[in-house]
Amino acid sequence: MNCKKVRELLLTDYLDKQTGLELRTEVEEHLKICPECRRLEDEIRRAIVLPFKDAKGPQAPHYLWLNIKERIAERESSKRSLLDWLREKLQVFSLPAPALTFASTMVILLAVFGLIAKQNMDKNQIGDYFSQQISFYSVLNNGSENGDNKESADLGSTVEKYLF
Amino acid sequence: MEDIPRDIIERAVKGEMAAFEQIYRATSDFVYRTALRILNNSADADDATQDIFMKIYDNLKNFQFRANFKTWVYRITVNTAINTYKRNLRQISRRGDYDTAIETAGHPPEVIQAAKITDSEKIISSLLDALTAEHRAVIVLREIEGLSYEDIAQSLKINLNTVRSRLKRAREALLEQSKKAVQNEL
Repeated sequence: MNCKKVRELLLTDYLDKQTGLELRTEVEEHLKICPECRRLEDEIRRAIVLPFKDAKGPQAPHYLWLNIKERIAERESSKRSLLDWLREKLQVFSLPAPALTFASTMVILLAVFGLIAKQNMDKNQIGDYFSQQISFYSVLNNGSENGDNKESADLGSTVEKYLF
Repeated sequence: MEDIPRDIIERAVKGEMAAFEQIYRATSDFVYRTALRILNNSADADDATQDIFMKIYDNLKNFQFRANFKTWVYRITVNTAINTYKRNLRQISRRGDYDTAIETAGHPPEVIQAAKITDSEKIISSLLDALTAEHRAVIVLREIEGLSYEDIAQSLKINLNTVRSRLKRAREALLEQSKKAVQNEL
């Protein structure tokens, strides 16, 4: 095993005991014969392993839980006030049952009549459109015979007069 | 970090505050320490810890028990701490300077107490200062919290080889920092 591979393993799997026995033995054999890699191993243990050993550090301060509890309480109370506001706005649904039924029926009837009236209007408009189109095409087919197309008929005659 | 029984999580999901407090008691030291190591500042660690527990509270109902609860907490903790660190860096660069005196002003005495750090804490702090937020996270999870490569990979949602390469780079940077410190002492 070469120094480059050993160096990589020293910084990762070998240091963290993630290698199998075979690979571990290979690294150890290399360390026995390579003073430079041995020096690196010492350096790693001194500079990386030792400072962090038993460095669990401080515990979470007590006041943090109080702050978190307060934030949760605020969050819940704002959720509740939103719900209250919605309930207030939707108070119409707390009307007595017959009044609510009557109001709902009226709304539905108005909506149905409105829809029917709109459909009839649409049908009339479509009918008008088709009759206009039919009369237009009949003008095209009949040329100057129809009084509605006098201008183009006259123009045709003038041009004919001019040319011939 | 202690294991948390499933029924406590389920009770917390239903809004039982005592159950959520149990979750807090079992996880808060890990969360606070990790945030403190990544942010290297006790006031920021306080804020980040509170944000992390609010995220846990808000997202508990979405926790499906498919993942390990501890891994889920590790992930929220590391992501929130890294994001806070990066946001602070942006704010510092915008502000031009960072008045460390402000850090402890107006905080309870416990914060000021926590700020009185020992020599070994100073060494750790100066070593971590040499690392990027991502490298700090792997060093904290591995060296301080003792997580396995698999747990680190799951917590950070990265693959095992990325864990290896981040650890390698982080440790190379730590070696470099340690050499500089020795040179400065001479």
